[in-house]
Amino acid sequence: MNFEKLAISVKDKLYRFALRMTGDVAEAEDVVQEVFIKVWNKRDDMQEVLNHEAYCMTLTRNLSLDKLRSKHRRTSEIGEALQLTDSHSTPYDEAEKSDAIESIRKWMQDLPEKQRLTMHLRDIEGMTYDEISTTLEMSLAQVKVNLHRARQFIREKMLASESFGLVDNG
Amino acid sequence: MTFTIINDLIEKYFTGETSLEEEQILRGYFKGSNIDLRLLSYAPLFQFFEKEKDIVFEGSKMPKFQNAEARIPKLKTQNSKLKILRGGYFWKIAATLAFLVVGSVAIFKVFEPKSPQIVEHRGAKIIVLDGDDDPEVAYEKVKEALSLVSKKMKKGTDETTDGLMKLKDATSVLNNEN
Repeated sequence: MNFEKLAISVKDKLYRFALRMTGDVAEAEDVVQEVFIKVWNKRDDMQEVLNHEAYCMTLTRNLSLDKLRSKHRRTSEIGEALQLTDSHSTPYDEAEKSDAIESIRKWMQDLPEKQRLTMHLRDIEGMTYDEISTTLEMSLAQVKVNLHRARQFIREKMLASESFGLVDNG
Repeated sequence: MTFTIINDLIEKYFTGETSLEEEQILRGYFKGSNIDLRLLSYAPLFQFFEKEKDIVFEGSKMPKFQNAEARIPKLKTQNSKLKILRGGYFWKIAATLAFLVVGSVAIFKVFEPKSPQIVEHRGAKIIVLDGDDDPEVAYEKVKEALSLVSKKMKKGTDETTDGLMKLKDATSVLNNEN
């Protein structure tokens, strides 16, 4: 695989992952760009890497964490970094504004980081437990526990929500 | 029928026990328009997952690289294997292995313990443990040892006879006195 093909095949996945982590469009874009620059500069070392996509995902995670830490230092409130900023137009804004779907997005954002990222990688990116384990640097057992807790949390919120059951079936 | 299957899968899903294939079935079901009313409440969750996939990284935001179509080098392990076969390394390794095998066999032969042999020498049978031993030397050593044993036995016999003679004399004197 050449660099261009690799970049095209993983760019959206990396971006969604960075966006899920940072909660900020501009920062997520920066992260993805930095990932590609790093991979390009280290392309000769890429022969050591067995799974290029997993490697890019791990880089995305680490760079997103750096962004969050940096933001935390600036604001002293990491929670602020996890909220979607109003200053940028997010892709979410362009998505269909279904109340139920918006509620789920919000609940997912309220999940603890490990649960949120595990659920994202499994339910949105369709990754295996092994791949999630590698990307998030946690054991398989931790992956399963985090996924179970995340889904239970969402289910409880759905049951408790007023919007539960009021879904457009289109 | 469909309701039961999907409902079971939903329960498995929330306990985190579904496989990727089963989750794909759920996504496919909730993407369709024939959703059972009893399951309708779960639809937003799976619709949310699908909608999230619409979020993409715009190509215009990609950094530009010269020669970006260049291939990423293959794994080193694969290259190494090919290099071993192609670059003469194979023959170097084979020669080294052959040298080690031949050397080991030679060393083993040199230090191998020799099996004992029975040799006829001057009418005697001699067991030679080491092939380099001289049967004549062994013969002389055995002869010397037997001679020493014989001398000691003769001396012992003479002393016993002498003792018995003295006992006989003493007995005679006692008999005469009686």
